Amino acid sequence: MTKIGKQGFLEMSFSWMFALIVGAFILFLAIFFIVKFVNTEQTSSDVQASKSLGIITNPLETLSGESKVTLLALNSQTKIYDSCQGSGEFGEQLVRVNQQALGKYSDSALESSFENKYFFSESIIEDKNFYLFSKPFEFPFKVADLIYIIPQTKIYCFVKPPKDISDEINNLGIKSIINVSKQADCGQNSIDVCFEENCGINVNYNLGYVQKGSDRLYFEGLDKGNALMYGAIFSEKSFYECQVKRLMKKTEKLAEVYESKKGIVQPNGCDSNVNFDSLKSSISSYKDSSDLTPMIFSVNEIKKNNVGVCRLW
Amino acid sequence: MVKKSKRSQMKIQQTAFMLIAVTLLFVLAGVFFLGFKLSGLKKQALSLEENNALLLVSKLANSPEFSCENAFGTKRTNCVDEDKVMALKNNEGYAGFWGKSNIEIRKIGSSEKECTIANYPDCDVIKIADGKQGGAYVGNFVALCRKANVNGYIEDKCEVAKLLVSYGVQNG
Repeated sequence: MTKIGKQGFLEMSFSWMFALIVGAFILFLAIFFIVKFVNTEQTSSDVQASKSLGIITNPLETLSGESKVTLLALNSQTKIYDSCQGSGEFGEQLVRVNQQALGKYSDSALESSFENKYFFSESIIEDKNFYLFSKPFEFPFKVADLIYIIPQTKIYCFVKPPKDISDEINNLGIKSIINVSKQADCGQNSIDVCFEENCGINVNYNLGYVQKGSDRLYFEGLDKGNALMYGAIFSEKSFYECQVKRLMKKTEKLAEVYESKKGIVQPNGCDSNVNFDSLKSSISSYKDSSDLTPMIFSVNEIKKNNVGVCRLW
Repeated sequence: MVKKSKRSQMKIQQTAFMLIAVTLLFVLAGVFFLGFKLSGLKKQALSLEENNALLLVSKLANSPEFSCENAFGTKRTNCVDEDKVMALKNNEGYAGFWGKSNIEIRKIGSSEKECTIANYPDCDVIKIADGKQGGAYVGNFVALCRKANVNGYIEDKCEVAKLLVSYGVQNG
């Protein structure tokens, strides 16, 4: 009687043990795959967002002297990591996006790269909505559209900007940039950008540089170099210098294209007096943005010669 | 004793079969799920590529490499400078600049004669970027302008053309 009882107890125990072990194994597998799946989904969503950032900036292409603005509204709080890689034919714009889910940012490290994009922003920006504002960079022909990314909740306070800048800001209607006549009118948490007074970011509009602490970022170009000036205001020095270097590479490539075009239209009796040698030689020795100011002479010379029926652009 | 050993063997066999069945069930479920997810990801990637191609084709004509700027009078949108595009076609540095898409311009109602420096402008198709992406194309109508010598006078000659950008399957 006791033997039978013991056997019955052992049989039950084996079934239970089997159920427990297999059950635990199944539960472990399920939890493991759910965690993996959620991570993969988050990474996929982040990569999709960073690719989309490159895609939705396509319609921001501008004509000369034009500026465009659009609001990028995302589903959740998002961190955008903006970086630049200066080597290669055109260098690369790198973008990484980490979105918040359940109060925590994803940790995906996958970046999207674009050879034909030039974003200007702080290296890490965080918000749910971002202003994307674009302006053409002309040196002396249109080189590219520069896109400035500004978090909607961050306020840049421009103190006494020149009239063309204040008019432009007012026309674009970007709520993240305000124009005031004195620094005291800026909010407590705003980033103050002074054109005449002395504050966090100082712009010397006439000499063409932006002073940020000990860093000096030079800007130049047609239209008084306003396109690069915004870039210098919204981004950090190393990032700005890398993007300007990329722009110089593109300027050189476009100069090559226009030189070839000159050769193509010449047999038709269409002669152009534009000479790109001096610009190309300045670009080949380009080191940082302080080299932009001496280059403006060749830029203006090229612009002056691009006239008549056979103008190249 | 023999009976008991047989019953134990049966139990172990049952357990082994059960384990194999459970594992197979999970493997099959996993394979189906992965297949489903992968096809979803492929669809998402294709949709992103399609969006990219659509937006790229709409902006390309106004990009510095294609646009007429002021070379043909006043500035106009969707105007492609044919002479500049021929110069661009021969610049190797631009390979890959617009990603993996093929980019070409086809004159409307013309032949398949591809443009080279030797036969330009007596040709109809300009292949600018020969990327690795085949598949579908999206297009946008543009004005294709060039400088022409007519009886000793330089004139602007503009034709209607279609700017095409490919997206989809990667061939290599």
